[in-house]
Amino acid sequence: MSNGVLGRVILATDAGGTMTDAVVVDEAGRVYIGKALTNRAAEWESYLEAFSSAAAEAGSTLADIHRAAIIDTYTGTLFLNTILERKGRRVGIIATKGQEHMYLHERGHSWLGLGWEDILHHKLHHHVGPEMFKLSSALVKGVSERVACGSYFMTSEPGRVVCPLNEGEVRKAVEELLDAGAEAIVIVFLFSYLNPIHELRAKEIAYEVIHNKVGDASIPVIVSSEVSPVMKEVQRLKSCLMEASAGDLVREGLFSVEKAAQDHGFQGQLTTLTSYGSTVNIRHPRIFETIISGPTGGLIAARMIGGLINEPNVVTADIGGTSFDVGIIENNQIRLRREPDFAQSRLALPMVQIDSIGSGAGSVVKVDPVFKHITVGPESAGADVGVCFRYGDPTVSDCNVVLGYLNPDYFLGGAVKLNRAAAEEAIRERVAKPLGLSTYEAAAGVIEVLHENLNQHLIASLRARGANPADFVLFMYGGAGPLHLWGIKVPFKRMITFPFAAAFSAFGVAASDHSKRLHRGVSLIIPPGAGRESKREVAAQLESVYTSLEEQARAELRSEGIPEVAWTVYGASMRYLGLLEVLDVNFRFGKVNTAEDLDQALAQFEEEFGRIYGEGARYPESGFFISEAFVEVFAAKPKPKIQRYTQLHEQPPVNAVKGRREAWWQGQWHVFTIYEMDELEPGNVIMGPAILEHPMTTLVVPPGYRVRFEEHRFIEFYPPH
Amino acid sequence: MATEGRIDAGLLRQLMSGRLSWDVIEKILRAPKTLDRFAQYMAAVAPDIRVTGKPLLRLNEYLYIVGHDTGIPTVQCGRCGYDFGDYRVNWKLNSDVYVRRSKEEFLEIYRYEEVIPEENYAEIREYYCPGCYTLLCVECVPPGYPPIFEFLPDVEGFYRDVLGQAIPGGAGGSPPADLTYEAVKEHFPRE
Amino acid sequence: MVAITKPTMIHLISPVTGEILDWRQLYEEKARLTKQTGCYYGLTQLKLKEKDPIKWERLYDAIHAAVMAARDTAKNVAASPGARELGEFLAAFTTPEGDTVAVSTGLVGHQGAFRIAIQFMAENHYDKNPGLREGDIITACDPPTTGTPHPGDVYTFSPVITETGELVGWAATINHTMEAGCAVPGAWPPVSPSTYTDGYGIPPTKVGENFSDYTWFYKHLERRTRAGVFNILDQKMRVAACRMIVERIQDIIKEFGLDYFRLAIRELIEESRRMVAERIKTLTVPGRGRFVGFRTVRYKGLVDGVWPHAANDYILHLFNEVVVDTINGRIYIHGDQLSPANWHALNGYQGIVESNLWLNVVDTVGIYVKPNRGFNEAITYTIPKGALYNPPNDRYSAGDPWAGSITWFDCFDAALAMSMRARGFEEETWNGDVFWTGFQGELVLRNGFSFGFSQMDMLGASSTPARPYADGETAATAWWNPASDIGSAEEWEYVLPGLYYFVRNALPGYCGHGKYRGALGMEIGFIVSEELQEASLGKVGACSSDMFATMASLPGGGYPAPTATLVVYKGTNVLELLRQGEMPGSIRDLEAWAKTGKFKYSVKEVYKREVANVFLKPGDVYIMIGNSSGGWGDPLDRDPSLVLRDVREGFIDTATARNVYGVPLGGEDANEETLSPDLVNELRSQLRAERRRRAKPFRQFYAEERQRLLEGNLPDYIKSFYRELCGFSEKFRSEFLAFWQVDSLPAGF
Repeated sequence: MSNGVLGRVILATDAGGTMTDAVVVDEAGRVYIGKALTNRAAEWESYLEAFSSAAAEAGSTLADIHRAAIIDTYTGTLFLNTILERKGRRVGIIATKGQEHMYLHERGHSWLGLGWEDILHHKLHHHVGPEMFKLSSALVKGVSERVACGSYFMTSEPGRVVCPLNEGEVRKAVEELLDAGAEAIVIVFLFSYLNPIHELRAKEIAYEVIHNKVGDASIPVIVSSEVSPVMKEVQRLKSCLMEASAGDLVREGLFSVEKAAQDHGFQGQLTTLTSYGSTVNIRHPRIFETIISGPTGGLIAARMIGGLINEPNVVTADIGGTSFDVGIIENNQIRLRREPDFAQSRLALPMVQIDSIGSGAGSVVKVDPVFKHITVGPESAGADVGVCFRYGDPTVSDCNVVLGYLNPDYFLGGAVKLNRAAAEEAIRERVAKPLGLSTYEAAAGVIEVLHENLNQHLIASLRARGANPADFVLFMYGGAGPLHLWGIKVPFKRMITFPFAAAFSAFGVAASDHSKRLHRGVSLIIPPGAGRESKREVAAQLESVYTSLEEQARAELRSEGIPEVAWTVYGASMRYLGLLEVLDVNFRFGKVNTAEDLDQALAQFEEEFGRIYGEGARYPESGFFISEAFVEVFAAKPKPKIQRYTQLHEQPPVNAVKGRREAWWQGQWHVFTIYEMDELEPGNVIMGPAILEHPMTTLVVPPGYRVRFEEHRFIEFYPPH
Repeated sequence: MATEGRIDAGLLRQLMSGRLSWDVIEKILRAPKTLDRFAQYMAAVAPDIRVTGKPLLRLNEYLYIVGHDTGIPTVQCGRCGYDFGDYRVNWKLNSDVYVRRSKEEFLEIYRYEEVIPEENYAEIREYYCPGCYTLLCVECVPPGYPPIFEFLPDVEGFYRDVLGQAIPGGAGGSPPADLTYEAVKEHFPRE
Repeated sequence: MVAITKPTMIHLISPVTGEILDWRQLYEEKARLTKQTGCYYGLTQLKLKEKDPIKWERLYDAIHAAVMAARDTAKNVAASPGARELGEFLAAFTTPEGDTVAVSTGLVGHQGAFRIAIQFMAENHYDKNPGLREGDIITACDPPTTGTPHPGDVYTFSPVITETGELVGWAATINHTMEAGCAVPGAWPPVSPSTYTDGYGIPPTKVGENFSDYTWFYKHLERRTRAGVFNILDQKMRVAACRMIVERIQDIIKEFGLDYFRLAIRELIEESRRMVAERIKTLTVPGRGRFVGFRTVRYKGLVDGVWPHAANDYILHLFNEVVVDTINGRIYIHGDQLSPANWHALNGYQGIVESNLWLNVVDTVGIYVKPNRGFNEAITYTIPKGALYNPPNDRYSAGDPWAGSITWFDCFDAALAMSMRARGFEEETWNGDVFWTGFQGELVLRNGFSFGFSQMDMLGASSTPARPYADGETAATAWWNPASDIGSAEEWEYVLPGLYYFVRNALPGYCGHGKYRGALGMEIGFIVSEELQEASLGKVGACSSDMFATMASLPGGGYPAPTATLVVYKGTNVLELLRQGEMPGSIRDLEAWAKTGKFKYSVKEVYKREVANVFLKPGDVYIMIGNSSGGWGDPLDRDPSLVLRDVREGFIDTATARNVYGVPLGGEDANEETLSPDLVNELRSQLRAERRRRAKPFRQFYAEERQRLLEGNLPDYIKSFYRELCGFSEKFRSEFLAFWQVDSLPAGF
């Protein structure tokens, strides 16, 4: 499919901990994939390496694709590495007096990142925060100040100052933090999301002191009401710590990628992806919002493709080496999570809702000899694949090799040779014998356990949203997605995978919108039986918050050279009065201006609440509470086109068949026909037993199953009926 | 480490040093618990204990049950080898004890008046090894409360039925009888 | 809807013989088979598992995923921070007899108690009246009949019934609610002379159908508790979770087949029982462990006028003897030296024992075993009738049993720690002194509106105990809530308006010392603001005592944790100080400011024991201190560089470094230079010499103490403690008399 002339192209990268996936999408909607091992020390190098291979596949050059590029979006692991490798700045904290130990108690979250069995093993509980952020008492200061929160009993004004900011204490604190070697300062005061006045004033003072003491303001001051103005102080602190300790280093890394791109002829500025799924310029002021962005690409691609094939409800399933990530798109909307966990910290950050479990192609297989349990993961061989390549313990990949599903000579297009004999021996000795099974039964058993995990996780994710699989289409991707598609037993409406499954997330990065999402904590009550007048007041308050958030968003876009706003989405975090958890509602009707708009908003909230928790869980009798208003302002941005073919042939071209090989299926060996995926064309129908091989992925079609390449060359997967 | 699932004496010594990084401690906690552990553990503690006889079991942070060629196993201080006698008798009967009863004495250890015991409700007993004056155990009990006999292991049954080994010297019976009261009768006459 | 058409009268089928039984016959069969074989349900073989281990595991994964998803989703309906923020909420699936098959995360211990309510329903023929239909909601919160440990814990159940009318299991949920309508506001009344002052407790009661509650029940919660809205929303949360579980289990039964399901869920329990037995064989050394905790309950002068029979000062003897049978893989808990039940709030019924037992197995001999009913089947406990945790009748209060029972089971954990360490499992060893502090009460807002609550900052997470290789950590675990969480100060203050946090930190120097330190406990302080007319606040907890926090001695032998306490300053000028931009950040600020006259108050009150309610007005200050843990080993063994770090971080002061740890560090401006190995060794040998000087041989101590006893030279409450205990526990009496070599309690008693 190579073609020297590309026209204008979109470049996108999804750099994971192990592999960097690069895609070039040309005007014809053709997708060229490149891969490279991620170079954590210098991601700009693996960026160039990955695009060299993508360019080669496109029959082009690094320089040509960069000259032709109109957009270049990069998502990497810079944040994670900076935090995990403790390379971040030394941060000093100024907190409301009496709250200095937020960094020590971490609100009791000594178990984040542990699996359930480990959480029950209490001796594994341990606070990692202080060490992770190099904190000590010398770097944490408390100052007198206090804002009151008000309450849902409406007895007092939210954000009322009950203790004025003690400016002398702030000056002293900043001095002491600088003396203690702080390279950045974070300010977190209680209830600043309701009234930021003290944080903002303390920030001014801090910059004064810094200026007088060290001259240039090379020491950033980060305040929680600007980073994330929402309830829960420890999450705000963690978010600020991320921004303060790693933000600048992450930017540097992104700038080095931008420079590499521009050195090769790219004319524009580099963009990256936020954790809520939109493209932003790498000069975005809240860079910690890009903390996890790779996986969100998959949902963006799924939303776009779902729209293209008229499937508004999509479940995305991404099987990589270490994890299985599930996302859900309802009515073309991606749901956000408000308090995601990242690097054993809970953050205040809207993040695309992706539920992960530690089961993937590289997951390590363990057997309890006494009780004959098979466990799969969470430990993973990552880039070492398994015993068949260079890992000490047997993995799922070993089983796939043993059972004939994976072609040991065509892994990553043959770049990596796998040792089937070694895999067989490992499975026989360390899985089959302890279980008293044959090698192949054991390997098949492991795959069965993996598939059960995948199915349970899919069901749990659907139920958590009150969703019914029959209303959803499944998009399966990730390097190992097509390999395990046959294991999915959840009764979805349709199942689809893609020739570019291995770079699906990177493709999504290219397909993302350019937007700014801003939110602000509010405290608005609509008591039961509230009258027009009070509703009008609430609506007016919401309206004014929306206006100011919109202005800020436009200003940020302008500063990144984007004058025009294409469209805007308005929403609010709502709950029944008395409830603690909010439900985010994106208003179908636009902005809340009037009492009537507010009624619509409440109705939409009630409808969504009832669907998730059941009718019996509704509680309008207690009234409503709005805790947060949010706005997302979108700018126009070129997106990849997807080619639609009109010539469809059922019969696959003869040259697509590469040969035959035996693979294990339901207790015996069957002869599977092997196809080269790139040679298959729109309309082609392949009956199982067949295996479709692609340099980056493998699709297994068991006996009785069948696949069809539809008009966009997406692959529809049909189990036997 | 976790992949081999073996925890040997060397690693156990590092664990006891308190200097292992948390990610290694995590691996140890997750690793399979294997039957060779007891041997590995006794090998790990051996270099640091000065007892006369064969160390059979670790009784607590400083005390060990030690077997002898003749006679019942005894409790000895791993620091100095001081012998507390028959393991079936609460070793505290052969220790030195210091008792704190007043507010002032409590405040030497605890910093705030608001959190120390009410005087006369409880006393703090500090049990020392008469050989090296290491603090072996602290008790906080109402006045008049007999010393607590925290752990009386069935050392004989453990060696015979679990390890399949014989212990040197005489047998103390399995399960062993608590001989503390006999010892009191014998050594602390009612004058 | 199918449910409507189902017969009211359900039936059951024996998983073993396949014959149709009624509910009570099933219990008889289970008891008979279990007794005959020692295996749960007589399952000497796990046939289904052996036939197809992978399918069998898949069934467990499916059931487990169902309860996890139900909890994680439904908790978003919660009103109380306990359930939503702190995760004090559990969802489970049980057999028709109430034996738990799989639990979610959350308040995991309660799975041990679910069976009590369900057995109560069977024994009282609930299958005939009111009858059981799918969608029925049954709620229960009466400790003697339902297993709920204390008034604040509320259970909600919903039956899983097949189209043919077979009862195949139960969705079971529990959360710790905010208010239970007791005589004193809150969810753990520490002052409650009998069950009649324990709150609105109801035996298992049908409160709704088709997964929708009856109005009367909401009205009941509004009328009979001080937190109607919270409690109604929590009920909705439990119902939402039950609904999700019932629906998912019906799918699972369709997938796996009813006959398979019926037997496999019992095999899952038997497997866990066997695995715990295996762990016992692998991890322990056989022997006898003995630990004890003491707690004070002082009603004298408090209830005399109305309840003279309860007007006493009690010392509770929480003595736990644990016998480990490594060879046969079984553990025996002997409660025969417990104090008797009495007319106070710290008694408990079977539910509290089963819950605590389970909680302490999961982290010891139950690690990495499927957590279910099998845990309880693997351990034998005996508590004589009339004892604290087996009251003579159902009239005794169970208002606050968590307070003492946590300590009683800390003793169980401590005994296992010594046995497992002796076997060489250093990593699994710690002091086991985990406990909690809570406060509760009622707030009257300026507009006259009032409501009750429980506050769980120091219940959501406690300190971890010290280990032979590491210090304890602040706010890092809670047996009763493994996903520990103290919640957000902003969330709590939003729910409890007008109580302004002024401190929520670890308190320096507040721990037990040792070679490895206990964790610093927390200091949590509030200012009562003008947003309130009045606040009546009480303090409860497992570490509140006039003596010590928990066990009287620790496996590690270090200094035990100091008690939790409550300090109240009344009539202060703190609101004025706030207006001037002066905020206290700790009780230490207040004490220092009091000396200089900056902080003024009319009264300072200190409560080491639990207290029912203290009445506070705007400007009063309320400080709770609790949740530290004790030390491991001799402080003179501590690595001096760790002592230096502690001083640098302000965790301990230089006086403690010198006097307790034998590390001289000069002044507060301690740094590397002032840490000299020679000076440390010198001071430490001085301190050892000092020990030699002041200590006496035990025989001398014995003689003096015996004399004192014979003279009856002890405070009356101590004497009455020995008198009460010797009168109830024959074993304690004989050992006590034998040790002091007296034939009976001296005349002075």
